[in-house]
Amino acid sequence: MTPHIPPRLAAMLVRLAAGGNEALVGDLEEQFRAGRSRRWYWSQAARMTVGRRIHDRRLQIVAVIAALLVAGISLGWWGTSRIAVPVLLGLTFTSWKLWRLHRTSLVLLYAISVALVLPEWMVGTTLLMNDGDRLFWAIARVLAGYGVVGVLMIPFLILRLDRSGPLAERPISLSLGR
Amino acid sequence: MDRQFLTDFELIILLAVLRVGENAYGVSIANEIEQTGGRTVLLAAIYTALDRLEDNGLVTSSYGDPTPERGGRAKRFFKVTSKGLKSVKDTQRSFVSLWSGIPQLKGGTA
Repeated sequence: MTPHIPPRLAAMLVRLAAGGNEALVGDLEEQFRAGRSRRWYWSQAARMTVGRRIHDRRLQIVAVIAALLVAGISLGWWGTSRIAVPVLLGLTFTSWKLWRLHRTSLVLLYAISVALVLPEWMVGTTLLMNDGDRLFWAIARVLAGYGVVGVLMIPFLILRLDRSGPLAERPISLSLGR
Repeated sequence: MDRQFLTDFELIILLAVLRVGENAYGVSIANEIEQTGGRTVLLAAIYTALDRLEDNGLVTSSYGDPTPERGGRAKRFFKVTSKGLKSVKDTQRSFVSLWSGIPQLKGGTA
């Protein structure tokens, strides 16, 4: 019988994210060997890796600066190329990092950005086409546009389901002082 | 510096360690929280909280013997210190104080 061994790549992620905490690596292996699924092991590995990166303060600062640069470059590109995808990628990345700083601002920034950028890309240039092409391309771009937004929203939805993700509620603190 | 507060997650972990007793290590603590608290927890989050609690003197830890089913790695056992126990009792008192005197919570289930 084949031994129940954790997935190799996930095990490597666990070791990296555990940062020398051998007891944690052992706990995960013990649970996996006791019957937990590969999906469970991968989930623990991924959440550990993401959590470790998210809570690294220096990395947060670098990521926010990088996010602002990506968004700025994307908007500059938008002015010349009229391609919505890099703009949305930039805005999504920026918004996600801003969420760490101020949660409500993310929703506003993301919603306003998408509302401003997407409709223009979806239907703006189709107005120059003749009647037959216009309807086809307008529909195609609306579907593609919202498809892109939908795909970009997946990380948010995944993290929303994660209690320790950036969309999760902060734990309450109980004052013990009298 | 003495910490003056516990987060809800730290409190849950301290209670789980107390409930499990001698065999309190990562897996048994996680199982206890899942069974009694009805919530799944990330093992890494448990260790992060336990490390913080240990830094604040609320728990102590010691290593057991390495075992094959853990890939040759040792278990890390945790125990609540007297300071940790006091924190739990203080938190309980805070909760009870908060609970008492709320008219909506009197007179059975809602």
